[in-house]
Amino acid sequence: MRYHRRVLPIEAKVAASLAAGDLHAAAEEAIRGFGPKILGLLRASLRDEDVAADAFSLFAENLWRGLPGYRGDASLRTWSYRVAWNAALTVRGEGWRRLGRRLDTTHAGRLAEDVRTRTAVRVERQLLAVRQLREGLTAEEQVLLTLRLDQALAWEEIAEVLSTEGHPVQPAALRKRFERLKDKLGALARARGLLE
Amino acid sequence: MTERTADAGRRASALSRLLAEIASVEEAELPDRFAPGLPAGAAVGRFLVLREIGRGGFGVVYEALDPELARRVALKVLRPGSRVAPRGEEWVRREAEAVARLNHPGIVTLHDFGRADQGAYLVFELLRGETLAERLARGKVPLEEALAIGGAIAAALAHAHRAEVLHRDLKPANVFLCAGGGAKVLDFGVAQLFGRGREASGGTPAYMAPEQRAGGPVDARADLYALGVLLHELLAGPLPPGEAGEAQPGLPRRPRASSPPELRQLVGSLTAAAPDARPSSAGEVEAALGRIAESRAGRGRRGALAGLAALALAALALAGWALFGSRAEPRERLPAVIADGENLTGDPDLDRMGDLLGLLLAPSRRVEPLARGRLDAIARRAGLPPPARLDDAAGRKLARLAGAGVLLVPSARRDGELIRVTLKAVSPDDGRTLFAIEEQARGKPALPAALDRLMTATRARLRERKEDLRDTPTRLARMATGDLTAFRHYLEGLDCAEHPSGGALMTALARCGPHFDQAIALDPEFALAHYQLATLLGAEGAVPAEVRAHMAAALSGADRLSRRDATLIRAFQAHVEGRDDLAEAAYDQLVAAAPDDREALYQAGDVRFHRGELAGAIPFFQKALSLQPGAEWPLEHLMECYAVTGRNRELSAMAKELRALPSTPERSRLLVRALAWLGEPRQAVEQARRAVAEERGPAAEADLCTALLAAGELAEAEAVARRRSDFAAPGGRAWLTLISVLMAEGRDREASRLLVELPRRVDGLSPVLVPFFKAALATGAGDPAALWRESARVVQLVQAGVGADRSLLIAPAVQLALRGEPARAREVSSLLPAGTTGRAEAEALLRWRSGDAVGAAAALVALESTDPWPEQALAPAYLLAEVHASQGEWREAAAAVRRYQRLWPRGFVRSWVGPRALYLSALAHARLGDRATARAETARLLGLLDRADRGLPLLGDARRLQRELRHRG
Repeated sequence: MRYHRRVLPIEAKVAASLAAGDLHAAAEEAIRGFGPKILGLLRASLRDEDVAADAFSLFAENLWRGLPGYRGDASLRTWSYRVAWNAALTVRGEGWRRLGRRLDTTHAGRLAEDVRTRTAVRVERQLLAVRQLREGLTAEEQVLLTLRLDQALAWEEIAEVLSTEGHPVQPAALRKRFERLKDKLGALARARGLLE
Repeated sequence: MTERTADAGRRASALSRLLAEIASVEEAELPDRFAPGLPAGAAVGRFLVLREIGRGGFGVVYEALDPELARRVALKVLRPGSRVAPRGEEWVRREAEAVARLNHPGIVTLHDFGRADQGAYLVFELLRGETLAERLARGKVPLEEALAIGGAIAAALAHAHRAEVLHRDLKPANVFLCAGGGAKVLDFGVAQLFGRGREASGGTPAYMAPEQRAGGPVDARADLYALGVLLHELLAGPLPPGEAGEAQPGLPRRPRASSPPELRQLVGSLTAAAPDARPSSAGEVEAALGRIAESRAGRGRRGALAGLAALALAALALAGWALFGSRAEPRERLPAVIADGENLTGDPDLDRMGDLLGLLLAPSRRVEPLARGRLDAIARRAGLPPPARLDDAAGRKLARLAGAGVLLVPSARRDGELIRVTLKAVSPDDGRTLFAIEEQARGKPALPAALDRLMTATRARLRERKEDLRDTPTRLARMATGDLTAFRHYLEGLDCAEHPSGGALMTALARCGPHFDQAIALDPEFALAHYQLATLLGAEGAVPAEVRAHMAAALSGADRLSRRDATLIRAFQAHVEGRDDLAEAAYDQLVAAAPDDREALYQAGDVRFHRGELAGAIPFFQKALSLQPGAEWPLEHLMECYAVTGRNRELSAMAKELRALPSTPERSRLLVRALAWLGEPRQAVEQARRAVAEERGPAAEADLCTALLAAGELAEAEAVARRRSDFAAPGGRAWLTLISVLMAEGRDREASRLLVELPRRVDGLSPVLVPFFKAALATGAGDPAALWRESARVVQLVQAGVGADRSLLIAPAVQLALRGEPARAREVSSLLPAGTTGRAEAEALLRWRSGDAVGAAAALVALESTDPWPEQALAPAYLLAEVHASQGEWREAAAAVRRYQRLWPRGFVRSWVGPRALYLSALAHARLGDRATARAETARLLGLLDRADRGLPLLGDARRLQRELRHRG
């Protein structure tokens, strides 16, 4: 329910700007409204500040360009996530080539730092373990979890976000993937002593 | 029952909480450019903000008033706190000057720049109209308008490129369509704000050329790529969201039916993945667009063509005058193609006059001879086979394709005692002879001086400035050698090193070294030949003293060489001395100066490769290969870069390509390795068998043996190792391979016996190798006393300088840290250079041994990410498996073993380590409760150790684990 309070005004503002023919204002509303969460998700799933920043720039640009063609078939939020996910896929493909080793080292450095500073306090171990569980997720898995649990999107909406041109995703398949992911994370968490 | 339900409920809600925690994503603060801008009336320096008119990657653009000059301006403010702000001021100082140099109607004018509280700012002329992005969003652009816009952008780019300013971020949002007509390019040079290290971010993914995306060096051709994407959009409409980053090279996907085919072809070549496949200059694109526009306009008014033709002729005449009329502007380069020429003297030393003259032109600051490799690449791109011989006609065709300004055709003939050499300069466009120069030499010894005179005169006729001719004189004897026969041998050596490997037994050194030897025999001061021989020797791991001797000879002549050749020699010397940072900087400089210099590209990649900077090396090897597809050394290194950095998609593509190319021993070996890295050990073994059948030789045999090791087929690996054809060869490589295989099989006694006999059986065996291998044996057997004894012997011999280099200390140091006494390990590891993988590994292991397993694991994880496949040390993944296993972190241990097993076995990495790693994996799976895997791995391990010495500790461990699994199961 959390999002309704915040999101509905954004949708309404964007719709009003679009109706007034002010593309500039509409894009700005959409980016400022959905942007913080989307950037957070890009960072969590891509796990590199710079790659996420590039993906976000691409998302903003594509949103800007695509907004005149937005038909309202999906909610604006779902459509924005879809544009963001496409941007993530694009930048991730290129980012890997471009950043390759730097990505590895920053990741490793961070992990090393995590491990170094970890103390005997159980809570911190748990936090670290949660982070490690997260590290083990693919970007797709992280997005699936976040859209479903954090953003409470419907299966149909998530399918809309994750579909790419020529590769539609079925809601039923997503639901199964989600169940498998839950099982996998549960087993991993138990193996690490996070769950009984 | 109730209790159980409650318990289940608790567990479910604990899982839900955990999942919610993983799913929860914090809102991120948006980049500054999305934050509210300055209000109207705000003062920025002396300017007053009137309204916001746009936002870019680095700041906000306002319409502002300049009260002093009473004019409206566009004010671009780099926002403090934005990612680029820290570099902003530096850019404003250094780059604004470059941008201000541009003065062209197609480029927005920069009026001023400065700094205010709100950040560094730039002041541009205020334009009225809309950006091309906005125009595209409104709908399709008529073809004529598209051609005009494209032409205007190309003209602007041509101007900027001549002033050596790259755009790097050309896109519709940076093209402004003025209300009064005409298009202007915005943000020139702004992308340079991001600096070299972040060049990739300087662009926008959809418009970035592949090399720019890859973070490699870029030149004007990256801007041409962006122009291609932009033209594509003009033809086909804006890229849809989500596809904007995926502009594919080649023709537009949805070309407008009415688009002229030549326009689609132009877009295709502009967006070619390989920079070389793109047009060579923006001017060429402008001209092409102009031609297309004219031909369309001409359909309606044929009569105008006559006028146009007259205009074209006038332009040609003007170009002809410009070519050799007065002196050129400084830095105005003239690309030239040099034909192979005609040798009628009967002297084979003059068969390669084209190459000879190309070398003589290298120091010219005006004439830029286009290297043969680049011309070959251009020919391939145009669908032509690279000509075996570059005669007059082929030269003209390639010169036109390459956008060269002149074709130089040499010839030589004998007239009694006289040798006459002639150089004809030909216009590539119409074949007119622009001028011809002849020089004579009385007898061959006088020929080098005649060639010098010929080239000096040619440079002068091609408008080289007098001061440049004086500063960079043409002197063949100084720049290379005064002995033309020595020079011929040298060229043959270069050819040899570049072409796919031939015969069965021959390494590059064995095949190509003799050419350089012959050159040096004729002219002992021939610096370039010494240098080439040193690089070959270095690549084959020759005794350092031999490399140093040739480098000393090369260095003593370096001052006489062209700057490029001297830099190559000094850089390689820095590498030989272990100063790779200097070497890298020097190679980078060469690449920046000449992005098509294959040798500089290869060396720039190679020095990174051997420093473990594999991702950084990739663009250099890719570029080198784009200039000479199939070149073996870059290909081999690129394969390993892809493999080690996990770029399996690229690796698969390369394997496919290798299968498609005609088989050579080197390619076949590469394919074996690529398959092994791709996790296809069976296929790798099959390929290796084929290679041995085709080209029976030690290299192929060694690869088959290694492929079998990788596939865990130890018995057959031993059989192959025993059948090798080079047991008699000096150095004892075949013996050492056999010993490694025996160690992997746990047959330490036989390995030990062979080691003792080795000095008697093998000539030229480095005496260090015996204790070196014995130390490895002692590590596998878990015998710390023997490990120390043999390691101490290695240290003693290395310190005494008995034909061995210090890298042989790495393995003993790491092994001591793993299994020996920590104090001894510290002693040996302190002898290793700081910052090397081996030393870092030894230090990490010592931390582990002193109880800090967490710190050790962290250090090893970091090491694995930077150097997962060290040349001399043990694989960090294996060491991580040991550390994790000691802490009962079984999942991590098993994962580390999997990562280790992916590595192509090198050195003795798979000797005792392979079976030990397999044991750790089996143990980890047993502890994780995956008994099926544990059983299978134990059975496999016992199979490998089938013929192992009784009493081998690992055998005992494996049997105990097998019993335990049987007992519990």
